[in-house]
Amino acid sequence: MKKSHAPFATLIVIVLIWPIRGIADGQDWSDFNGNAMAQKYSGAAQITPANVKDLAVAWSTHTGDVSEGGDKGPKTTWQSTPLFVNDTVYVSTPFYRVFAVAPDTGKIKWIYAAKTISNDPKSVFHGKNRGIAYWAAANPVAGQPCQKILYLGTVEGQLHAIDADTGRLCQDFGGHGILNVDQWNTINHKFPFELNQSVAVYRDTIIIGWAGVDWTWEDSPPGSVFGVDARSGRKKWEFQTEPENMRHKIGTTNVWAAMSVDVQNGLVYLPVSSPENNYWGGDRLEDMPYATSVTALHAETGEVAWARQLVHHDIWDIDTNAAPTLVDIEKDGRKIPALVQSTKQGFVFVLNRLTGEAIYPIEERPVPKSDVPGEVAAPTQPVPAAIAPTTPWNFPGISTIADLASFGQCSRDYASYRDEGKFTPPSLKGTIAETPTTGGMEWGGGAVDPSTQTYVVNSSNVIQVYKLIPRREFDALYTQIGREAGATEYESPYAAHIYTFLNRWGMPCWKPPYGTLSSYDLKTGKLLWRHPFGEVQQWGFYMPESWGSVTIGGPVITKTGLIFIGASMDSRVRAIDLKTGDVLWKHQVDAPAVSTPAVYTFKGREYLVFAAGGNAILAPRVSDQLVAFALPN
Amino acid sequence: MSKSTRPRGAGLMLLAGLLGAAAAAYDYITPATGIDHTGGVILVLASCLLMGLAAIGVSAIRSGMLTGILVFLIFLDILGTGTAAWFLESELVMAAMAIAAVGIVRRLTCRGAIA
Repeated sequence: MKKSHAPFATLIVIVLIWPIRGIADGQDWSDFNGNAMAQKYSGAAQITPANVKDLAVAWSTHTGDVSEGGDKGPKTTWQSTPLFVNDTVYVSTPFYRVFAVAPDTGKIKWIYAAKTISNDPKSVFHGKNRGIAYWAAANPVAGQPCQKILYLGTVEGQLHAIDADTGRLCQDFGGHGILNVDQWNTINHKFPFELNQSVAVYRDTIIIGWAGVDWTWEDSPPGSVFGVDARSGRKKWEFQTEPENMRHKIGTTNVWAAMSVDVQNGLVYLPVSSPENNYWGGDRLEDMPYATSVTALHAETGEVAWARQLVHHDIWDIDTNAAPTLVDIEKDGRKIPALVQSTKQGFVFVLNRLTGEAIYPIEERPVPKSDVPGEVAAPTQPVPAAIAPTTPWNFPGISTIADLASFGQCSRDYASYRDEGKFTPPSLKGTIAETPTTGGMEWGGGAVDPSTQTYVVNSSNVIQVYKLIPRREFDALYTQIGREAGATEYESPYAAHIYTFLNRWGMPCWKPPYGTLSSYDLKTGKLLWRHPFGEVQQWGFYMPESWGSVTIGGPVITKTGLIFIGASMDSRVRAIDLKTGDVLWKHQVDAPAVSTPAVYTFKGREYLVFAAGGNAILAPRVSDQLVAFALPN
Repeated sequence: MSKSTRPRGAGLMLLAGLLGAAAAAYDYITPATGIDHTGGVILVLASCLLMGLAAIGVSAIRSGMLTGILVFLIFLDILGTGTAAWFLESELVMAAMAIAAVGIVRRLTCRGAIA
């Protein structure tokens, strides 16, 4: 009888294809927003609404990169979303280090530490690092380094290119692995370009925006975006966001948030911020079409494909602040390439991403006039007419508890302010800002399930007061009390005092909820559900769930109909039913997870990972915890 | 056969105070509780210790009026600490207050058994 070689052959085949299998079933999180289209969606299907209650810590690690204040500098804010790609979890820290971590154990493979002025406690520049970007060569050369690169930006405008396999600098990029992006900061160099957001990647081009120092100088650096070669750092193109005649007198209008990319159509989408002076625009009455807009560029050339301004003559500092979510939607029997843009004013704009045209109607709604000398507020503002905003148009009413506790202070203060609803211009006596700079929606943006075209977004309901102060009066005040006086806005006739509407005990003077999570059907534009989200704490006491929490960081959605989100100030991470909005699971972490989580699958096991770092502006608790959850083995 | 001379329920109230204080101490030092190093937990820790002291007083003092006052104060302590534990979402402290509540009910309903 002839001996069969079948078992041996089978073993050989298994051994040969095992690594391929490992790649095939590994669902990556290769971008700050999950993928280039900023969908924050994972096809992972192991964790379901039925078993999510069994989710437990798979591993937890501490980077050591945390400051409680004092000798190590100010309290840290860690808003980084980890990447999972190349069979490794990569995460950057507030001390500008990159950790490569084993995805199943949390063991550290290597650490890259950037030298930066931000790590000097005496430095005035302490930036936020929100994450890193990943590029891989389409045709990698075997044995050559830097076929896979991680890009880490620093507060002084240096972009570090790091070999994803070894953690070493890629010598061919910029100057020995570091590109000095700040070399292109040539007009009104009041501060270096701060690279706190991950760059966008389109084929072999990376696209770089920058953040800066807001509220300080009217004539700060004007907005610019750069396309550079992913391997060498050579500049391919530059896009200026301001008209040429305004660049020397008006600053920012920059792109400080993440961008999204439609690789198939070769377009990169920029969320463009507002210009300086943020609260008085008398020196910039000219048309600035890209200011507070979503702008589409041809990623290979930097030429404008289209732009849509989302706030006319922005005098509220309500930057377009999140990467738009790209998704194809089915509407009226047609498949439409769409773009969903969340905004600080609580609006959800749904546009055709190839043309910029509105898929759901946008009306120009008349808004109040300014009563401040020299200011001419825009007569109308664009408002999505068919999609319910996440924040109310009018003041939600005085909080009875806060008013009673302060013996009527909230009511008295409110009566002294100007309030005519959203887009009431800043004033000399103080304006209630229903569209405050805090948002509404923040840089975390929303997530989409592309199969059901359900869009989910968290939003804060914050009321601030905007008070303009004439220059001479402000300068005298600044001499007395320093930075407490407010936003200096040098070179402008007006400075501004911006503060949250609280009573003397620090209680919000407006009615809750303070934060919500909303779900929309993009096929119809209808709101499916909205619930208060998260909890707030005072002295450890949890306030009622119906109050919700201010949130920072975005949600993610998985194929099984789960939403995972940290974001709230109670240091809890949650799983939520996509259909109903019900909380199905929650877990305490070391500090508020003010970042978007990542979901990945490695060796057949689905993981959910959060950077729980905290945001000292909103809650005192900070940490350096990177924590992954999975179902029990 | 000798009968117990200890007032009924005082032991349970003492136990509840100590358990509550231990739970609050655990909450204070454990980051995973979400209420570590907060003023609310210190308040609960103090109120549990006071409950324990008051329970000892109930056991030791023979004056009916003074004992009555202490029991009333323990009752207020249970209400206040229980409410605080509810807002702290501290299940251990809430459980301790439930034990204390049983103690006070025994105290109020089993007076005939004393002596």
